[in-house]
Amino acid sequence: MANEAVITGVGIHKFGRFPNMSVEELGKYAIDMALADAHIEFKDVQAMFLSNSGTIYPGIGPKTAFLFGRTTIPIVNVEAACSGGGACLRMAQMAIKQGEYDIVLAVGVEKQPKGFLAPTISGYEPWQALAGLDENPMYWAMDARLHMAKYGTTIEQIAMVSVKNHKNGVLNPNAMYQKETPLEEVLKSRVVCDPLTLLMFCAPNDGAAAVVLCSKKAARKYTKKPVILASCAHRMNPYPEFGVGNYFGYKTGNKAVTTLAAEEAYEKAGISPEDLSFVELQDTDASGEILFSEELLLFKEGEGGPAVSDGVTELGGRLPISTDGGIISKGEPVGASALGQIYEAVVQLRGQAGKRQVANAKVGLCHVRGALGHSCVTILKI
Amino acid sequence: MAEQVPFKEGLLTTPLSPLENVRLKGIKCRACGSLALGESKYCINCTSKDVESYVFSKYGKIYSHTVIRHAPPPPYPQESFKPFPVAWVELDDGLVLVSEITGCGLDELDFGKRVELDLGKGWVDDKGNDVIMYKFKLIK
Repeated sequence: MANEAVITGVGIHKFGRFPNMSVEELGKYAIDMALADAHIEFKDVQAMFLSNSGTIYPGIGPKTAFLFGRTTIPIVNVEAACSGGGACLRMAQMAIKQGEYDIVLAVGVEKQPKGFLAPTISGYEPWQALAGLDENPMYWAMDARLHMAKYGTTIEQIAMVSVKNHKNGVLNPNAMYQKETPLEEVLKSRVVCDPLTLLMFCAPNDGAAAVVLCSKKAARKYTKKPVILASCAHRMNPYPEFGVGNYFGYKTGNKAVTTLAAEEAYEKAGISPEDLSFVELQDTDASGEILFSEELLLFKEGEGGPAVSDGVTELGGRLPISTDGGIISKGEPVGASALGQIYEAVVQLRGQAGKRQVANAKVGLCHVRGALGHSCVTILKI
Repeated sequence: MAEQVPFKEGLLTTPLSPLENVRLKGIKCRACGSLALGESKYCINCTSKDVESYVFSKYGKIYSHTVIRHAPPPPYPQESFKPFPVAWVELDDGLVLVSEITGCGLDELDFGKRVELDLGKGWVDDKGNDVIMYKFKLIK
């Protein structure tokens, strides 16, 4: 494949709350780690894309880069809600594939205050906020209810996603929450939007992640075993978008954006769902993991719930999902979360995940889904 | 006397008085049949320009529902917050829209239950005008 892009370095700043660090400093920490991992210095980077949503301002990419000293390389900010990191990686991949660059940096940085996201980040209009129709969990709760009614998915199965992801999070030093939550505790935590409870949701927070992307040819100089970026797809949801940031629709029968992005990613990579060793997906809430596991074609419609209760998606199961604890454990630094998934996937594919290592990991899929209809699906392999 | 203004331009028929005659309006695409809320020269589904104005039915049913039990983020007034039911309402025409549901308790909603357009004052804007907002009322 012409100018195939490979990953030679990854870095992460723990996801959590870091009041004493600026968003740019978080980014520098992750970039330093990724550069060291790739055996290069910042001066070797030829282009940079930086994803951010919550603290975005026109100079955020350059200001982060300038922490390494002044540079003349092109730096572009990327914003695509919760899919920003994926969109950023897609830009970096295209820069390599196009043939002009050999070493490109994709960075995601974020600082989010505690609590619900501010209405504007999710694309709500002022009247939606004044009417109280801008609480993201309400949309996920209504999706969950439909799935439960249509397929018999149970609230226990939804809660088990949270139990699993918190369990995985205990094994991940970069997660904000490293504490197990028993099933009863999840079910009995405060109801946010019926039927979903507090411990079923991710929390917005701070964090950063960085990925060094190389052309396959240039990578040979730095590593014998790069992780191959088999495909990266970024799509928007067709009409209707019955979700965050929106308020009306019509049942057109169009496919969901996650499915569109997944089909594109599978086709470009020449990979089918059966080939996957593990999956990182957008567990903004626990029910979302079940819905997205079906939209990603990992399971048939209606079988996402039983896949959780049968242990298919836990560590040691046939297809582990969110081995790093997902954003339910890590928290969601919106602009950085997708590259946090890439970090985990690379660590897994290199066999460096320690206690959460998936045996014989060969192919991994990362999925994000954001407000207003963004979705990115990335497939990595060794 | 405070003037009455719509929550957003182009989504309600005019005049706003008498309120009982006001309906939600939008477009119907002649090419693909899709409905959309609000005025537009293009179909939001297929981008066709062959669209006609459409006034929506005031009746519909619950497509899915939940209860907001935690105050939405500011600028929603935090101090006066009380939990309230919301739903995706599927109008008899087929348009689906998100709405607060009035005239019922927090545990009374269910799939398929009938609802009716309930327009009224939602809030006061910064010029002191009454903002007319849509909600749907459970038909009992």
